Amino acid sequence: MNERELFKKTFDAVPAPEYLAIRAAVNANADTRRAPRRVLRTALIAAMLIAALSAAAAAGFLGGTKKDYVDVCNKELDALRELGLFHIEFEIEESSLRPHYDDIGPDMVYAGEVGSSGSAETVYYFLLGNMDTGKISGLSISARPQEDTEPAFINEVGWAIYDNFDAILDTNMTVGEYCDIWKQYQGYERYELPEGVEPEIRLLDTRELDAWSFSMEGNGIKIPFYRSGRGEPEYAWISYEATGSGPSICFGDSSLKG
Amino acid sequence: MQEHDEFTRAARQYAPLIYRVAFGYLRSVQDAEDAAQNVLIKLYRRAGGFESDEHLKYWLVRVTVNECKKALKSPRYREAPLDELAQAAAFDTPREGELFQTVMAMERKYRAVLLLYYYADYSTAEIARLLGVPAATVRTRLARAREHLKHILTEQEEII
Repeated sequence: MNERELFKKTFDAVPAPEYLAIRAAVNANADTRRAPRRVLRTALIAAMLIAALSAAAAAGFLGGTKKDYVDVCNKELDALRELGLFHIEFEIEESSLRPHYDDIGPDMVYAGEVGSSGSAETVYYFLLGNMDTGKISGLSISARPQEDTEPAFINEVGWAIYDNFDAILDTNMTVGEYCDIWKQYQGYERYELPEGVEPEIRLLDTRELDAWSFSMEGNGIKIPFYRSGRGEPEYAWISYEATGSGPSICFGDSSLKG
Repeated sequence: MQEHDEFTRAARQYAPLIYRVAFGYLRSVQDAEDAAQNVLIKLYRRAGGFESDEHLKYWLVRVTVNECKKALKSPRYREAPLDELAQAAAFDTPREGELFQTVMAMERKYRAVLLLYYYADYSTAEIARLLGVPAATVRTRLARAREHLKHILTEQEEII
């Protein structure tokens, strides 16, 4: 018995009431409606919930302690994992966090473990948070190389290069899926793919496209995202690299420009 | 769906699927019955036919998911305790009972993906459309849920 057969047999054991169809036909014909709900009470509860959620969202990184910043960063990382952007596990720690980092401007928070292992000992990460929105605006993650397997290739100076991107994310993710997740997370209204970049292309196949650039601004494909009612775009990059120290991928815009 | 015979056939064929998807999603006998009934009423009232049986099934599952989401917002909605739910079903083997308990103990987002994938036979892309989330999210949830199931089932086998 395979997984699907086992699953079906298991849930077929849940008895489904036989009278559902008959009751539905009778109720539909009689135009039966449910008893009136407690509309006012529901509306009040909804209003309270919205107020509470709005307050929590507005709080973002503002006015917090270092611990608050760390908590927000980790909560937002979880949110991105839940949306399916990546699945690698690691946590930001206070020691790696620098609010008001000089190089990136006063409205950003920075957390990074570049050049030394992070809290999970297997991940290098670099995160930028927008203190106004409480959202992560850029994130770069490098996994440890899969040294117990054959390297993907040996480069010109003889280094073994590893491309175990599956340690970080779903390697079947497409450009469209990546952009949809980023759009949903940030609350953007829309985005525009550069010419020649189709939404169905696998994210990890984009390096071969003409739209890929190597420049001082960044390496990869730069995608403009637009907020409702605002003309100026914000950018997210598609950027990844297989290296000797492991596969590395960038989400959003994690360039240190403020 | 105006033709009474057509409704009866569709309801007989799909009511168990609709109910079990709602039951798994909501973890409540009463709310699953209400959701399933609302789906069938919508089917009864729907004017015009469906292109195929697959189209009908997809429509029913989509409406079921929407009815479940609606039920979650109701102040009357209550999840039933796990033991109570398990007592309602008659499993042939302890392994099935264990699988049921494990799945039903998971968070709703994982249960929904598992039910739609394994029980309703939808692909991850179709589930993404049904739930209104990116396909990558569905694949991640499915992978996590599978991992969780594998771990529990492996433990179970070792104990046996």
